[in-house]
Amino acid sequence: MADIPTFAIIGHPNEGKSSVVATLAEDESVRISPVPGETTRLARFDLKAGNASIIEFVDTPGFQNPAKTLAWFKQNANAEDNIAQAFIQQHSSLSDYRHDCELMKPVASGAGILYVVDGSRPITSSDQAEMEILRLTGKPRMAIINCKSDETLYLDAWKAAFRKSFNAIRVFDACGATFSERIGLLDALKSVDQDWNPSLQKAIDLLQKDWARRGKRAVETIIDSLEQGLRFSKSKLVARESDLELAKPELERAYREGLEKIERRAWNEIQRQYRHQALKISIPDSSILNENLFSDRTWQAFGLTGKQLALAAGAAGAGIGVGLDVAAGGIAFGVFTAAGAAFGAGAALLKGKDLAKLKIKQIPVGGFKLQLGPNQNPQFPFILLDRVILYAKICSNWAHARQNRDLSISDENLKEGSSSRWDAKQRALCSKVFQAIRKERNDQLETLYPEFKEVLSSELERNPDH
Amino acid sequence: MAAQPETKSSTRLEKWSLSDVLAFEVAIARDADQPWDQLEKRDREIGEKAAKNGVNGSSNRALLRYWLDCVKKPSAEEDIPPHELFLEAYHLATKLITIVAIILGGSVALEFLRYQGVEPVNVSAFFGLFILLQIFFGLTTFGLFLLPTSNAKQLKFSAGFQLLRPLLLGTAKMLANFSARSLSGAKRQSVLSLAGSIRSSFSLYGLLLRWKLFGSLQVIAIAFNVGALAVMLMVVSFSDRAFGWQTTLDVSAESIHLLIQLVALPWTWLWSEGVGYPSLVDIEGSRIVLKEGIRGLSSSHLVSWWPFLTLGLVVYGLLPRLLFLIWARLKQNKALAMLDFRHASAQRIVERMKFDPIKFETQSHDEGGVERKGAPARTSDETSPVSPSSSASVFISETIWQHKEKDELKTLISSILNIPDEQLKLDQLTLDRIAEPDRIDIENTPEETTFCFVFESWMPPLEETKQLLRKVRKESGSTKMIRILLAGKPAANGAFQNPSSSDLDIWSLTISQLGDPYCQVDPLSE
Ligand SMILES: Nc1nc2c(ncn2[C@@H]2O[C@H](COP(=O)(O)OP(=O)(O)OP(=O)(O)O)[C@@H](O)[C@H]2O)c(=O)[nH]1
Ligand SMILES: [Mg+2]
Repeated sequence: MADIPTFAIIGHPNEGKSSVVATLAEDESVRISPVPGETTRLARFDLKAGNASIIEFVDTPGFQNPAKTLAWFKQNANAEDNIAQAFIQQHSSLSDYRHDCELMKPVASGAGILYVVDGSRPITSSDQAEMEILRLTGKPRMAIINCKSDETLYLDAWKAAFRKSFNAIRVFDACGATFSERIGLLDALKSVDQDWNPSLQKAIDLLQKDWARRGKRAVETIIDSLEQGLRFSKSKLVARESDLELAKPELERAYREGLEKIERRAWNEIQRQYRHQALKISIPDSSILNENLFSDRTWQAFGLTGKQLALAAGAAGAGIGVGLDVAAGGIAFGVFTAAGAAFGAGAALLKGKDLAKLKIKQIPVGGFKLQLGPNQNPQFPFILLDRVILYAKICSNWAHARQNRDLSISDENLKEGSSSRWDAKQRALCSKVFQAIRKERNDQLETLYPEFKEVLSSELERNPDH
Repeated sequence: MAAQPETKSSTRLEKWSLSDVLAFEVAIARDADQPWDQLEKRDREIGEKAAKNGVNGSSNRALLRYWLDCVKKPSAEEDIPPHELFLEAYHLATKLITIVAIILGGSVALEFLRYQGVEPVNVSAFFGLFILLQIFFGLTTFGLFLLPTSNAKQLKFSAGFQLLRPLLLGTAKMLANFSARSLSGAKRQSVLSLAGSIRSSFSLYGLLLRWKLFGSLQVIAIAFNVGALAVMLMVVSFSDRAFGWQTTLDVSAESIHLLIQLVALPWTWLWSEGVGYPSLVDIEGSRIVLKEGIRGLSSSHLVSWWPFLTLGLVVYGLLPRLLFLIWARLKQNKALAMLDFRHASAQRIVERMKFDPIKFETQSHDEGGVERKGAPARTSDETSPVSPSSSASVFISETIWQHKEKDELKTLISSILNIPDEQLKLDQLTLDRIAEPDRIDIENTPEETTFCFVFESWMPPLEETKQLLRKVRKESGSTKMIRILLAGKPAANGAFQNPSSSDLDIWSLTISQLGDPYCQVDPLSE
């Protein structure tokens, strides 16, 4: 692993060192825990662009003997060339110093130092001892203030203390940092040591390229899932008329499962892109997101309002079956497609509103064919789109230090989908795209997609509002 | 909560059984997961109730026994409380082993008494196993368990326990080492604290445990003897056994007789020669010479042995074990009676029970004033059995030392330690002192002085903190209370806030790893 820049993340126990490493290296396997002393050995994590490692971060245990270590460092400050190395040599056999030796190892071998503190607590003499130890190592170092709570009372004292012995200071929220904030930190690192400048700049460039690639891939995934979802249908052959009622719920289930599968596949791909394999985004039952795709509430709460929808459809210039009732806000769409319903002889047996929902064909050889989908509801594509965009936005902004892996989205976070915030022109574009997908007009799609992709990627880049 | 505890008198409450002690530890362990303020409220209420019922407040034993009765879970909530479960399992195991021992004793005896009419039962083997060996075991038990190594160290463990102790403590140490190497994080911490609590329980209840185990061993030995005795009696009453002796050595019947006389000494006054033990003639007449067989021996000589063997079994097998058992029970009770419940976790409960929020509030109100109103409210002498020490040497971490005026700190600490502030000696715990704990003069501190350390609650305890505490413990004796006060983050106005419960938990966890039952952690807030 030839000369990629290496940084050791060092600090007091439980300050969030491992969290900083996880987020900076985009690695969800870093061990993080509320109990101090979680990290007991140094562990290396590479930040990768594609498959190439570009920066190495070394997670270390916390200082266990700052007072004693400082006393030793002061005594030996001038005598040693590589004081960290000398410290390790003298203390490696002492079990009390196991952690201190471990954390000195990357320093001894020349890594840059990122000193992490929790800025939401007061500074103490142990902290000062640690800073002094790091100063005595003579290695370039940056202080990272990672606030574990909102308390800001002690921030100024921290900054003042750092100014004395650190080349750079940076406030960084390990659990909330976005991509641009991470880039910002790396950028600031360049100034710590001139020697790092070229390799860091190269790393930043690679990282940004990779980020753009991931965004592009995510957009493609979104479009894929949209196409699949809009064209998805499920059918079933039934021999006897009397079996129609029985077959109905089963078909409905199969249809729903099929759609879920399409969504899940897209979500997994997006998670993979953003290196969040272990993350489980679950949506609680109370949330509109988890409400099944077919209920009225979902139609209304997600996607566009009836009026927005009617305007969009009008702009698309096509009759996609949006009736007056939609424009009036009375959305009465059922689960199943109404358009083009050609009812066979058996249809008469089905009652009431169900009539409109199911396509039943009598097959010449005998028996019936039931078909569910493709869903023609004008709201449907918007909902699919909003869901997958939401998913992608969460993944791309989720700091890898946040290891509460079962994320549930509450209604509060999600009052409205992304598409409802787009302007009329963008929504019209969407309608056109949906229509072309439904009609499988690939020639139209080819001209529409470049612009549509623009809309999607700028939506992904938009900062999360929570 | 039933009215049941109220009817108990103080003297009755002084009584602690083994089951109570276990229940007490279970209750404390259960409390560890509860929020502090809730425990405070509960125990204060219990304390008030106790005072109303005239429970003697000067004795932790009575007070905590009352507390235990109040907090013990009513049986409806859990079918069997864990401590009962543990005791029951223990007793069941002892019972099973006892049954096995009876059977074992019986079958070994049967084996030795086997007789097919050809060769007589070999007295020498039976005598060797059931009498000589038991005399030997009895003597070693006596030497190992009952003789204290030195009178000065009566509380310390005698030789026999020295065998058990390294076993248990070794396990604790192994656990600690293993976990330090192979586990990481929270798991390691909890294994370490398990090891700590083994050590801690050991130093508190080691004596109790020792006599309990010793007693159980005696029960098992008694069972073995009873089995052997029963078989012996059965065999001689329901069948005809011939007993003879043989040896390859050139031993005369006279010397055998002498040995027999010696062994039979304890019962010769009751059953004399010929009855209680075989006479010289009997001995000569029951010697088996292999090539001659037993045809020529007279049967009166051949049966003369069994009373001797039976009595030997009773006197050297059964009787000493019975005595040891009684001894063990007495010692166990004495160990129970000696528990003073002044260790940290017990002390904390007592303090919570006696805590008076009204007095405390008034006191902290005038704390800002220039003039302090003498000793804080909680130090009045009637209530001070809580804290047996009368002065304290307080070491305050640098940050906190610099944060507040010395007098303010004194008042604050004195109210928590329950020691008048003129009796407090405050000192700074500098980095130098942490780096070199030898700079703290511990040995020359008077006996009644408590050591107290004030740390920042938001800083997790480090290895060097633990080393410091270990050193203080080592040099100040094993039952002296070491107090740790944890200051919360200072607020904008400079007052210490309440430490967060997660910080307190982290400290408690670490301190429990020290295995030091006399180290008490308390929050320091205003
Ligand atoms: N809210 C919040 N919590 C944080 C932040 N950073 C760390 N934490 C929490 O702080 C605790 C400790 O984090 P770690 O990253 O394991 O700390 P560490 O410095 O590696 O700890 P050791 O390995 O024990 O020395 C964990 O519970 C984290 O979730 C933060 O920015 N915000
Ligand atoms: Mg860590």
